Amino acid sequence: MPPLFGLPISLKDSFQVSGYDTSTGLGCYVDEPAEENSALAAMLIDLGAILYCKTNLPQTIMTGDSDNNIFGRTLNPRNKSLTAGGSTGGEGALIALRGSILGVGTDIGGSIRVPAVCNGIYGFRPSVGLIPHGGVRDVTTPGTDGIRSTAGPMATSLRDCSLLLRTILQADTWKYDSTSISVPWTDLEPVRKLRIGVAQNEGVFTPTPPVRRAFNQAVDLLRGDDNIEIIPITLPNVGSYYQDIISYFALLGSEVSGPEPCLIL
Amino acid sequence: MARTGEPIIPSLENIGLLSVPGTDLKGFFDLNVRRAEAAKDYLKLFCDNEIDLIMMPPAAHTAVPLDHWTKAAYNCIWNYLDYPAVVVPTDHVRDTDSADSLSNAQFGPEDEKLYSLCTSPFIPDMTFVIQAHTCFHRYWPRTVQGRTGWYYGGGI
Repeated sequence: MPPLFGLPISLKDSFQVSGYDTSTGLGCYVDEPAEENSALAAMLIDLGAILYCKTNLPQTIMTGDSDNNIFGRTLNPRNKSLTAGGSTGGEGALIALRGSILGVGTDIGGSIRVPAVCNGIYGFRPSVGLIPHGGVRDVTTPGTDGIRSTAGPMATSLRDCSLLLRTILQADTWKYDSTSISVPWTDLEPVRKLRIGVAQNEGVFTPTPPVRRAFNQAVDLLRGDDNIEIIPITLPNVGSYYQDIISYFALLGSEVSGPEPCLIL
Repeated sequence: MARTGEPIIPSLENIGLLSVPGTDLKGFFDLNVRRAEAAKDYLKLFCDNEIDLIMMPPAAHTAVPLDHWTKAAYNCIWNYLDYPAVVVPTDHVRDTDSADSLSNAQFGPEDEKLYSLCTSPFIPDMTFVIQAHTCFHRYWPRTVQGRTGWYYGGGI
Protein backbone atom coordinates (compact mmCIF):
# COMPACT_ATOMS: atom_id res chain seq x y z
CA MET A 1 0.00 0.00 0.00
CA PRO A 2 1.28 3.52 -0.62
CA PRO A 3 2.65 5.14 2.55
CA LEU A 4 -0.12 7.71 3.04
CA PHE A 5 -2.93 5.38 2.05
CA GLY A 6 -6.30 6.70 3.19
CA LEU A 7 -4.82 9.61 5.17
CA PRO A 8 -6.88 12.79 4.85
CA ILE A 9 -4.62 15.78 4.39
CA SER A 10 -5.79 19.39 4.26
CA LEU A 11 -4.14 21.94 2.01
CA LYS A 12 -3.84 25.70 2.09
CA ASP A 13 -6.05 27.20 -0.62
CA SER A 14 -3.08 28.36 -2.68
CA PHE A 15 -2.26 24.77 -3.71
CA GLN A 16 -3.86 24.01 -7.06
CA VAL A 17 -6.13 20.98 -7.06
CA SER A 18 -7.53 19.96 -10.43
CA GLY A 19 -11.17 20.92 -10.91
CA TYR A 20 -11.26 23.38 -8.01
CA ASP A 21 -10.70 27.10 -7.70
CA THR A 22 -7.43 28.44 -6.37
CA SER A 23 -9.00 31.78 -5.59
CA THR A 24 -6.44 32.45 -2.87
CA GLY A 25 -8.86 34.95 -1.38
CA LEU A 26 -8.95 37.16 -4.47
CA GLY A 27 -12.08 37.85 -6.49
CA CYS A 28 -10.20 37.91 -9.77
CA TYR A 29 -9.43 34.19 -9.40
CA VAL A 30 -12.92 32.97 -8.54
CA ASP A 31 -14.58 30.55 -11.00
CA GLU A 32 -11.32 29.54 -12.63
CA PRO A 33 -10.93 25.89 -11.65
CA ALA A 34 -7.41 24.53 -11.88
CA GLU A 35 -6.75 22.36 -14.90
CA GLU A 36 -4.10 20.32 -13.18
CA ASN A 37 -2.86 19.49 -9.72
CA SER A 38 -0.01 21.31 -8.07
CA ALA A 39 3.09 19.14 -7.75
CA LEU A 40 2.46 18.40 -4.08
CA ALA A 41 -1.22 17.59 -4.60
CA ALA A 42 -0.22 15.17 -7.36
CA MET A 43 2.40 13.58 -5.09
CA LEU A 44 0.05 13.23 -2.16
CA ILE A 45 -2.57 11.56 -4.36
CA ASP A 46 0.04 9.16 -5.73
CA LEU A 47 1.13 8.41 -2.16
CA GLY A 48 -2.43 7.43 -1.28
CA ALA A 49 -3.55 10.51 0.62
CA ILE A 50 -7.11 11.83 0.48
CA LEU A 51 -7.39 15.53 -0.33
CA TYR A 52 -10.66 16.68 1.18
CA CYS A 53 -10.45 20.42 1.73
CA LYS A 54 -8.51 23.59 1.12
CA THR A 55 -8.27 26.18 3.84
CA ASN A 56 -8.57 29.93 4.14
CA LEU A 57 -5.85 32.52 3.85
CA PRO A 58 -5.57 36.33 3.58
CA GLN A 59 -6.29 38.46 0.59
CA THR A 60 -2.93 38.50 -1.30
CA ILE A 61 -1.54 35.90 1.17
CA MET A 62 0.88 38.50 2.49
CA THR A 63 -0.43 39.37 5.93
CA GLY A 64 -1.05 37.91 9.37
CA ASP A 65 -4.87 37.61 9.40
CA SER A 66 -6.60 35.03 7.20
CA ASP A 67 -9.35 37.34 5.98
CA ASN A 68 -10.64 38.00 2.49
CA ASN A 69 -13.72 39.18 0.61
CA ILE A 70 -14.47 35.71 -0.81
CA PHE A 71 -14.71 33.46 2.23
CA GLY A 72 -14.51 35.89 5.11
CA ARG A 73 -12.33 35.72 8.17
CA THR A 74 -10.84 32.71 9.96
CA LEU A 75 -11.26 33.15 13.68
CA ASN A 76 -9.11 31.77 16.47
CA PRO A 77 -10.89 28.68 17.84
CA ARG A 78 -9.88 29.48 21.42
CA ASN A 79 -10.98 33.09 21.34
CA LYS A 80 -12.83 34.63 18.42
CA SER A 81 -11.60 38.15 19.18
CA LEU A 82 -8.04 37.04 18.44
CA THR A 83 -6.36 36.24 15.17
CA ALA A 84 -5.88 32.70 13.92
CA GLY A 85 -2.77 34.03 12.24
CA GLY A 86 -1.73 34.04 8.62
CA SER A 87 -1.24 33.35 6.00
CA THR A 88 -1.95 29.68 6.71
CA GLY A 89 -4.56 30.61 9.30
CA GLY A 90 -7.25 28.32 7.93
CA GLU A 91 -4.96 25.31 8.41
CA GLY A 92 -3.97 26.49 11.87
CA ALA A 93 -7.55 26.79 13.06
CA LEU A 94 -8.73 23.58 11.40
CA ILE A 95 -5.92 21.53 12.90
CA ALA A 96 -6.43 23.11 16.33
CA LEU A 97 -10.09 22.12 16.11
CA ARG A 98 -9.03 18.62 15.02
CA GLY A 99 -10.87 19.05 11.76
CA SER A 100 -7.61 17.98 10.15
CA ILE A 101 -4.91 15.65 11.42
CA LEU A 102 -2.24 16.84 9.01
CA GLY A 103 -2.05 19.88 6.80
CA VAL A 104 0.31 21.63 4.45
CA GLY A 105 0.99 25.34 4.36
CA THR A 106 3.42 27.70 2.75
CA ASP A 107 5.79 30.17 4.36
CA ILE A 108 7.55 33.18 2.82
CA GLY A 109 7.70 35.36 5.95
CA GLY A 110 6.24 33.26 8.77
CA SER A 111 3.02 31.98 7.23
CA ILE A 112 3.31 28.45 8.62
CA ARG A 113 4.77 29.51 11.95
CA VAL A 114 2.48 32.44 12.84
CA PRO A 115 -0.69 30.29 12.65
CA ALA A 116 1.17 27.59 14.56
CA VAL A 117 1.80 30.16 17.31
CA CYS A 118 -1.77 31.45 17.29
CA ASN A 119 -3.33 28.00 17.43
CA GLY A 120 -0.86 26.10 19.59
CA ILE A 121 0.19 23.52 17.03
CA TYR A 122 3.42 22.42 15.36
CA GLY A 123 4.45 24.08 12.13
CA PHE A 124 7.63 23.40 10.21
CA ARG A 125 9.19 25.64 7.60
CA PRO A 126 11.68 23.55 5.60
CA SER A 127 14.30 25.12 3.41
CA VAL A 128 13.12 26.10 -0.05
CA GLY A 129 12.68 23.30 -2.55
CA LEU A 130 12.43 20.30 -0.23
CA ILE A 131 8.66 20.02 -0.51
CA PRO A 132 7.44 20.66 -4.06
CA HIS A 133 6.04 24.15 -4.46
CA GLY A 134 5.12 24.06 -8.14
CA GLY A 135 1.48 24.91 -8.83
CA VAL A 136 1.07 27.01 -5.68
CA ARG A 137 -0.42 30.40 -6.44
CA ASP A 138 1.97 33.10 -5.40
CA VAL A 139 1.17 36.78 -5.87
CA THR A 140 4.77 37.86 -6.24
CA THR A 141 5.67 39.03 -9.73
CA PRO A 142 6.51 36.04 -11.95
CA GLY A 143 10.23 35.69 -12.52
CA THR A 144 11.37 37.52 -9.43
CA ASP A 145 13.78 35.56 -7.30
CA GLY A 146 13.91 37.32 -3.98
CA ILE A 147 12.82 35.51 -0.85
CA ARG A 148 11.14 32.32 -1.96
CA SER A 149 8.12 30.66 -0.49
CA THR A 150 8.42 27.13 0.85
CA ALA A 151 5.83 24.47 1.71
CA GLY A 152 5.74 22.61 5.00
CA PRO A 153 3.63 20.50 7.36
CA MET A 154 1.36 21.62 10.17
CA ALA A 155 0.11 19.12 12.72
CA THR A 156 -0.49 18.42 16.39
CA SER A 157 2.75 16.52 16.82
CA LEU A 158 6.32 16.54 15.56
CA ARG A 159 5.87 12.88 14.69
CA ASP A 160 3.21 13.82 12.16
CA CYS A 161 5.30 16.65 10.69
CA SER A 162 8.13 14.12 10.30
CA LEU A 163 5.77 11.65 8.64
CA LEU A 164 4.93 14.12 5.91
CA LEU A 165 8.51 15.26 5.39
CA ARG A 166 9.97 11.76 5.38
CA THR A 167 7.34 10.44 3.00
CA ILE A 168 7.73 13.31 0.56
CA LEU A 169 11.53 13.24 0.62
CA GLN A 170 11.53 9.51 -0.03
CA ALA A 171 9.25 9.87 -3.04
CA ASP A 172 11.38 11.45 -5.80
CA THR A 173 10.18 15.04 -5.68
CA TRP A 174 12.23 15.82 -8.79
CA LYS A 175 9.71 13.89 -10.90
CA TYR A 176 6.92 16.26 -9.90
CA ASP A 177 8.58 19.65 -9.75
CA SER A 178 11.59 20.89 -11.72
CA THR A 179 12.34 23.46 -9.01
CA SER A 180 12.49 20.96 -6.16
CA ILE A 181 15.74 19.95 -4.50
CA SER A 182 15.56 16.21 -4.01
CA VAL A 183 17.32 15.50 -0.76
CA PRO A 184 17.21 12.02 0.73
CA TRP A 185 15.75 11.57 4.20
CA THR A 186 18.64 10.53 6.44
CA ASP A 187 17.99 9.13 9.90
CA LEU A 188 21.00 10.57 11.63
CA GLU A 189 21.57 10.12 15.33
CA PRO A 190 23.24 12.89 17.32
CA VAL A 191 26.89 11.96 17.83
CA ARG A 192 27.61 14.31 20.68
CA LYS A 193 25.92 16.52 23.25
CA LEU A 194 23.45 18.81 21.50
CA ARG A 195 24.51 22.45 21.74
CA ILE A 196 21.53 24.81 21.62
CA GLY A 197 22.12 28.52 21.07
CA VAL A 198 19.41 30.34 23.04
CA ALA A 199 18.34 33.79 21.88
CA GLN A 200 15.92 35.56 24.24
CA ASN A 201 14.77 37.92 21.48
CA GLU A 202 15.72 39.07 17.98
CA GLY A 203 16.86 42.52 19.03
CA VAL A 204 13.86 44.32 17.51
CA PHE A 205 10.80 43.46 19.61
CA THR A 206 10.78 42.53 23.31
CA PRO A 207 8.89 39.35 24.20
CA THR A 208 5.98 39.99 26.53
CA PRO A 209 5.97 38.52 30.06
CA PRO A 210 4.03 35.32 29.32
CA VAL A 211 6.27 34.56 26.34
CA ARG A 212 9.39 35.18 28.43
CA ARG A 213 8.11 32.96 31.23
CA ALA A 214 7.14 30.06 29.02
CA PHE A 215 10.32 30.31 26.95
CA ASN A 216 12.55 30.31 30.02
CA GLN A 217 10.65 27.34 31.42
CA ALA A 218 11.39 25.46 28.20
CA VAL A 219 15.06 26.46 28.34
CA ASP A 220 15.33 25.37 31.99
CA LEU A 221 13.78 22.02 31.13
CA LEU A 222 16.33 21.44 28.40
CA ARG A 223 19.18 22.64 30.59
CA GLY A 224 18.33 19.84 32.99
CA ASP A 225 19.06 17.24 30.32
CA ASP A 226 22.60 15.84 30.44
CA ASN A 227 22.66 15.45 26.67
CA ILE A 228 22.02 19.14 26.04
CA GLU A 229 24.17 22.20 26.51
CA ILE A 230 22.64 25.68 26.50
CA ILE A 231 24.70 28.51 25.04
CA PRO A 232 23.32 32.08 25.28
CA ILE A 233 23.64 33.94 21.99
CA THR A 234 22.57 37.22 20.46
CA LEU A 235 21.21 37.35 16.93
CA PRO A 236 23.10 40.01 14.96
CA ASN A 237 21.58 42.70 12.75
CA VAL A 238 18.00 41.47 12.58
CA GLY A 239 16.69 45.04 12.50
CA SER A 240 18.60 45.94 9.34
CA TYR A 241 17.83 42.61 7.71
CA TYR A 242 14.13 43.22 8.42
CA GLN A 243 14.19 46.37 6.30
CA ASP A 244 15.74 44.45 3.43
CA ILE A 245 13.21 41.65 3.84
CA ILE A 246 10.36 44.15 3.45
CA SER A 247 12.08 45.48 0.33
CA TYR A 248 12.25 41.96 -1.08
CA PHE A 249 8.49 41.59 -0.54
CA ALA A 250 7.78 44.73 -2.61
CA LEU A 251 10.48 44.76 -5.28
CA LEU A 252 8.29 46.56 -7.79
CA GLY A 253 6.52 48.63 -5.18
CA SER A 254 2.85 47.97 -4.51
CA GLU A 255 0.88 48.90 -7.57
CA VAL A 256 -2.08 47.55 -9.46
CA SER A 257 -0.78 47.01 -12.96
CA GLY A 258 -2.87 47.31 -16.14
CA PRO A 259 -2.75 43.94 -17.86
CA GLU A 260 -2.54 41.97 -14.62
CA PRO A 261 -5.79 41.94 -12.74
CA CYS A 262 -4.29 41.55 -9.33
CA LEU A 263 -2.19 43.42 -6.86
CA ILE A 264 1.46 43.06 -7.70
CA LEU A 265 3.83 42.92 -4.79
CA MET B 1 -7.98 43.78 -7.58
CA ALA B 2 -8.39 46.59 -10.08
CA ARG B 3 -10.63 44.36 -12.18
CA THR B 4 -12.90 43.39 -9.32
CA GLY B 5 -12.63 46.62 -7.36
CA GLU B 6 -12.65 44.64 -4.16
CA PRO B 7 -11.80 46.45 -0.95
CA ILE B 8 -8.51 45.85 0.76
CA ILE B 9 -8.82 43.97 4.03
CA PRO B 10 -7.86 45.83 7.23
CA SER B 11 -4.97 43.48 8.01
CA LEU B 12 -3.34 44.21 4.65
CA GLU B 13 -3.71 47.96 5.22
CA ASN B 14 -2.20 47.61 8.68
CA ILE B 15 0.84 45.55 7.70
CA GLY B 16 2.07 48.43 5.56
CA LEU B 17 3.24 46.44 2.54
CA LEU B 18 1.02 48.51 0.27
CA SER B 19 3.09 51.62 0.86
CA VAL B 20 6.55 50.14 0.41
CA PRO B 21 8.44 51.76 -2.48
CA GLY B 22 9.92 49.45 -5.10
CA THR B 23 13.50 49.32 -6.18
CA ASP B 24 15.43 49.11 -9.41
CA LEU B 25 17.75 46.40 -10.68
CA LYS B 26 20.78 47.90 -8.96
CA GLY B 27 18.83 48.08 -5.73
CA PHE B 28 17.87 44.42 -6.13
CA PHE B 29 21.50 43.44 -6.66
CA ASP B 30 22.45 45.41 -3.55
CA LEU B 31 19.82 43.53 -1.56
CA ASN B 32 21.36 40.27 -2.73
CA VAL B 33 24.86 41.39 -1.76
CA ARG B 34 23.71 42.26 1.76
CA ARG B 35 21.86 38.97 1.99
CA ALA B 36 25.01 37.04 1.09
CA GLU B 37 26.87 38.90 3.85
CA ALA B 38 24.11 38.03 6.31
CA ALA B 39 24.47 34.36 5.37
CA LYS B 40 28.17 34.57 6.18
CA ASP B 41 27.49 36.29 9.51
CA TYR B 42 25.03 33.61 10.59
CA LEU B 43 27.33 30.80 9.50
CA LYS B 44 29.94 32.44 11.71
CA LEU B 45 27.43 32.56 14.58
CA PHE B 46 26.91 28.81 14.29
CA CYS B 47 30.58 27.97 13.88
CA ASP B 48 32.04 30.35 16.48
CA ASN B 49 29.61 29.09 19.11
CA GLU B 50 29.70 25.48 17.84
CA ILE B 51 25.94 25.29 18.12
CA ASP B 52 23.65 22.79 16.45
CA LEU B 53 20.52 24.87 16.50
CA ILE B 54 19.06 28.14 17.68
CA MET B 55 16.13 28.25 20.07
CA MET B 56 14.09 31.42 20.48
CA PRO B 57 10.52 32.63 20.96
CA PRO B 58 8.54 32.45 17.70
CA ALA B 59 7.06 35.88 18.27
CA ALA B 60 7.17 38.66 20.81
CA HIS B 61 3.58 37.90 21.81
CA THR B 62 0.84 35.33 21.72
CA ALA B 63 -2.19 35.62 19.43
CA VAL B 64 -3.15 39.29 19.20
CA PRO B 65 -6.50 40.99 18.51
CA LEU B 66 -7.81 40.79 14.96
CA ASP B 67 -5.80 42.66 12.33
CA HIS B 68 -2.95 43.48 14.74
CA TRP B 69 -0.37 40.90 13.71
CA THR B 70 1.80 43.18 11.62
CA LYS B 71 5.41 42.35 12.49
CA ALA B 72 7.28 39.27 11.35
CA ALA B 73 10.85 39.89 12.50
CA TYR B 74 10.95 36.74 14.64
CA ASN B 75 10.06 34.60 11.65
CA CYS B 76 11.14 36.17 8.40
CA ILE B 77 14.84 36.26 9.32
CA TRP B 78 14.77 32.49 8.72
CA ASN B 79 13.11 32.94 5.35
CA TYR B 80 15.80 35.47 4.50
CA LEU B 81 18.55 32.99 5.42
CA ASP B 82 16.52 29.97 4.26
CA TYR B 83 17.08 28.09 7.47
CA PRO B 84 14.63 25.33 8.44
CA ALA B 85 12.51 26.45 11.39
CA VAL B 86 9.96 24.60 13.50
CA VAL B 87 7.44 25.94 16.00
CA VAL B 88 6.87 23.73 19.06
CA PRO B 89 3.93 24.50 21.37
CA THR B 90 4.88 24.46 25.04
CA ASP B 91 2.51 26.18 27.43
CA HIS B 92 -0.53 28.38 27.91
CA VAL B 93 -1.06 31.85 29.27
CA ARG B 94 -1.72 31.47 32.95
CA ASP B 95 -3.63 33.59 35.44
CA THR B 96 -0.32 34.32 37.13
CA ASP B 97 1.07 36.03 34.04
CA SER B 98 0.84 39.76 34.53
CA ALA B 99 1.41 42.70 32.26
CA ASP B 100 4.39 44.89 33.01
CA SER B 101 5.48 48.41 32.30
CA LEU B 102 6.08 49.70 28.78
CA SER B 103 9.52 50.73 29.99
CA ASN B 104 10.49 47.04 29.68
CA ALA B 105 10.30 47.30 25.91
CA GLN B 106 14.01 47.44 25.14
CA PHE B 107 14.29 48.43 21.52
CA GLY B 108 12.69 51.79 20.94
CA PRO B 109 9.34 53.32 19.95
CA GLU B 110 8.24 50.62 17.50
CA ASP B 111 8.95 48.01 20.14
CA GLU B 112 6.93 49.97 22.72
CA LYS B 113 4.01 50.24 20.31
CA LEU B 114 3.92 46.47 19.83
CA TYR B 115 4.55 45.80 23.54
CA SER B 116 1.60 48.01 24.42
CA LEU B 117 -0.74 45.54 22.67
CA CYS B 118 0.04 43.11 25.44
CA THR B 119 -0.26 45.22 28.56
CA SER B 120 -3.92 44.46 29.07
CA PRO B 121 -4.75 41.40 31.23
CA PHE B 122 -3.65 38.28 29.42
CA ILE B 123 -6.23 35.91 28.15
CA PRO B 124 -5.84 32.47 29.72
CA ASP B 125 -5.50 29.43 27.55
CA MET B 126 -3.60 31.10 24.76
CA THR B 127 -0.75 28.81 24.03
CA PHE B 128 2.91 29.53 23.76
CA VAL B 129 5.38 28.04 21.51
CA ILE B 130 9.09 28.07 21.08
CA GLN B 131 10.69 28.31 17.72
CA ALA B 132 13.69 26.15 17.00
CA HIS B 133 15.86 26.48 13.98
CA THR B 134 17.67 23.38 13.02
CA CYS B 135 21.14 23.66 11.75
CA PHE B 136 21.76 25.64 8.72
CA HIS B 137 20.85 24.04 5.50
CA ARG B 138 22.95 25.32 2.72
CA TYR B 139 23.00 24.40 -0.84
CA TRP B 140 25.25 25.06 -3.77
CA PRO B 141 23.66 24.61 -6.82
CA ARG B 142 21.67 21.46 -6.22
CA THR B 143 23.94 19.72 -3.79
CA VAL B 144 22.70 19.98 -0.30
CA GLN B 145 24.58 19.65 2.91
CA GLY B 146 22.53 19.46 6.03
CA ARG B 147 23.08 18.85 9.69
CA THR B 148 20.84 16.91 11.93
CA GLY B 149 17.75 18.50 13.32
CA TRP B 150 17.27 17.96 17.00
CA TYR B 151 14.13 15.94 16.71
CA TYR B 152 14.07 12.31 15.74
CA GLY B 153 17.46 12.63 14.11
CA GLY B 154 15.85 13.50 10.79
CA GLY B 155 18.31 15.15 8.48
CA ILE B 156 16.91 18.17 6.73
